[in-house]
Amino acid sequence: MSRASRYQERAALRRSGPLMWLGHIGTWFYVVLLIAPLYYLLVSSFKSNTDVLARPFSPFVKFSLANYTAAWERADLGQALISSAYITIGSEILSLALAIPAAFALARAKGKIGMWVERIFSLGFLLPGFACLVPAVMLSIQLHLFHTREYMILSMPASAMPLSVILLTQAMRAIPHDLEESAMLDGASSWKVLTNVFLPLTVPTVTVVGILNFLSFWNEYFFSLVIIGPDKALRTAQVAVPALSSQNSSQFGVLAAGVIITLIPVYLIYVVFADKMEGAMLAGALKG
Amino acid sequence: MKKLVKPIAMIGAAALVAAGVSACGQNTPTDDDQSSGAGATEIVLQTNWTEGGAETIGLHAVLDKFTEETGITINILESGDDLNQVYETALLAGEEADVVLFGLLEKQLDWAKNGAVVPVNDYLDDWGFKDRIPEDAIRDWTDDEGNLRAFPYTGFTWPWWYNMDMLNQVGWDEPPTTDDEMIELTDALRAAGLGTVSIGGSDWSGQKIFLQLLETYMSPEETIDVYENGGLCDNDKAMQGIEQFIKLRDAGVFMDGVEGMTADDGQAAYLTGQAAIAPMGSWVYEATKTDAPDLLETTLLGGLPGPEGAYEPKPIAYRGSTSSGWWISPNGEKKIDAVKQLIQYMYQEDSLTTEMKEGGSVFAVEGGDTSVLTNPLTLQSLTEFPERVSFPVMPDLYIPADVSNPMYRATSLAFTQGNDAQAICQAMDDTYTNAATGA
Repeated sequence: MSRASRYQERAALRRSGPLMWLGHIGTWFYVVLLIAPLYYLLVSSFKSNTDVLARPFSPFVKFSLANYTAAWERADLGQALISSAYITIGSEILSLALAIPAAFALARAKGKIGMWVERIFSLGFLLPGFACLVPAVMLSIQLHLFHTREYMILSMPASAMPLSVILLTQAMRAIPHDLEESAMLDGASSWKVLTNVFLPLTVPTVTVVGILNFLSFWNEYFFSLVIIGPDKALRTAQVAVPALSSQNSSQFGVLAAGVIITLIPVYLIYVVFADKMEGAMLAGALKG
Repeated sequence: MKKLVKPIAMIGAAALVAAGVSACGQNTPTDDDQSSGAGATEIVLQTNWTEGGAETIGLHAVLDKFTEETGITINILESGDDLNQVYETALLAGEEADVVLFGLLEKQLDWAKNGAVVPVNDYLDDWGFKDRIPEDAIRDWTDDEGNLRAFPYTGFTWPWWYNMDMLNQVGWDEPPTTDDEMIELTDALRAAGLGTVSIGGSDWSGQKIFLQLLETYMSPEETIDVYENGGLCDNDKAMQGIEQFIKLRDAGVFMDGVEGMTADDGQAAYLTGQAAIAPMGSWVYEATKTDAPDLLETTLLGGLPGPEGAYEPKPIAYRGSTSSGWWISPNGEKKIDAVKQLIQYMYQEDSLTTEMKEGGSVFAVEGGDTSVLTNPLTLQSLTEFPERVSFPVMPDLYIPADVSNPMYRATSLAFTQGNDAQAICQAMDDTYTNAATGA
């Protein structure tokens, strides 16, 4: 920031009075609240167990990757990350493959059936995840898919459908009807209208849905633990990481390193798709 | 759109291919492996001994040797502290592990009664363990229907650690032997600006130490009755024990702010020299090697000294046989010959010695060559420490599971200055009443 712009900012603050100062202080306080846990996690990942507890917020004195090596080897995180990626991407593809056509149909529907189907999707929000655990386990046993990752790929999209369908339906409703009519007049089938007209225009919303689903699938712990189980060849990263510590022998430094390793893919996904997500946030903000 | 589709498709394809490759190479149990009888070539072992724990190193060393000698491979499932839920769900699917290496608490207390595991009474004699496993360990592991739930394996000691360097600084050559000496010592430590006793006053570790003091004047039978049924306020000896706790608390024996500390905080305070005394279990022996090696030689393991008239004349410290046992599942019973080979192997002298040496394990059974021990604390714990102390009743087996967790809050109240014996006993009794009424 140049000297002139800093001066202009201060002048603006002076003009807007004490409320603006309070707003700035509040904003920065909020930023610190958000950053503090991340900072704590990061510095802990380089410390010994005793240092984590005795000097929790002091920056690490000696730079060492020992905790990262220990986390990677002890929890077999390489295999666990592959399992997590397999389940997350499989579930993601299935979710979008189901939600996009469903939203397309609902957005175009004019009758009462469409309205009721949309409401039924909304009812999905009322179901607490834990209420589905027992039926999900029983179903996996009946289908002979217990202790498999494929069952998670098939079942996790169900939890993502309500939000995905509702967000995408609203985005597709915003597309002018004339565009669809023009395409139809040119002989486009419904599939062509979806893939060549609706989908390109709703890319930002599809990205938002994709990122939200990715976070939800990647971070899922309890269903994966119970249904896939703790077998090292199959378990996800979220199931593997807690194995780095136990009640009587907490290993906070190694655990923090393991958590950071599992956060990296999430961060990379966000960085790659951040501009699309921001586009969706701003869509419709300006006319013209 | 094309810009977006391409990276997604590439990532998706790469992940699916990678997972497919890994799935082809994985070694999952098959129906053939699960077949019964002597020909079983694989045993699935589920345990909460995770890679983060020192004892796992010893376990893996022994299991590798077992596989080498017998040809039976062991598929280890590490489940951490959620093991009971994972095991019970797998049991529902008929895909539970063959054997489980796990402790005795909470849900597991009823596993033999409800058929989740096979009682091992009949195997105790047949497999030659009757003379190896001490009677008190057998008693601990037997439920009220007479089922021996599992074979007791590892136990623990829970001594009071005295940093003799710090004690020497204030003129003490020996740990205190009476409660008044304990107060004198902590006064001297405070005067010198040193920390006193560190405990996790807000969690399970503080609860155990409060209960250790509660037991001061009670016989084991009276103690068990109080643990099972509550009624502290109506029990004179229990109230005397609470008064004894208050005497130490108000004299400043415990560190300031102990009521908000966790077991990890208490441990860190001792290992970093902020506290001169701490009650910590044998699970910290190996951690001390890496986190505070200087303390290996300067720590003396002892007990909590009692007052005149206490039931136990010596200082007291806990020990137990319930850290882990070998549980046999219904699936394990189908391949009982292979399971027998494994469990007998685990109890062999060489195996116990390896686990002692590599993982610092403390066993609930007799055996193992202590001369191989390199950790002075483990050695002290197995040799001199039992001579110095008496062992009171370990509460875990007698306090009902639905009382145990709420009791942590009540004991945190006990560690807070200003709460009298009546308030403390009432808070403790309320945990029993609430559990009984489901409140």
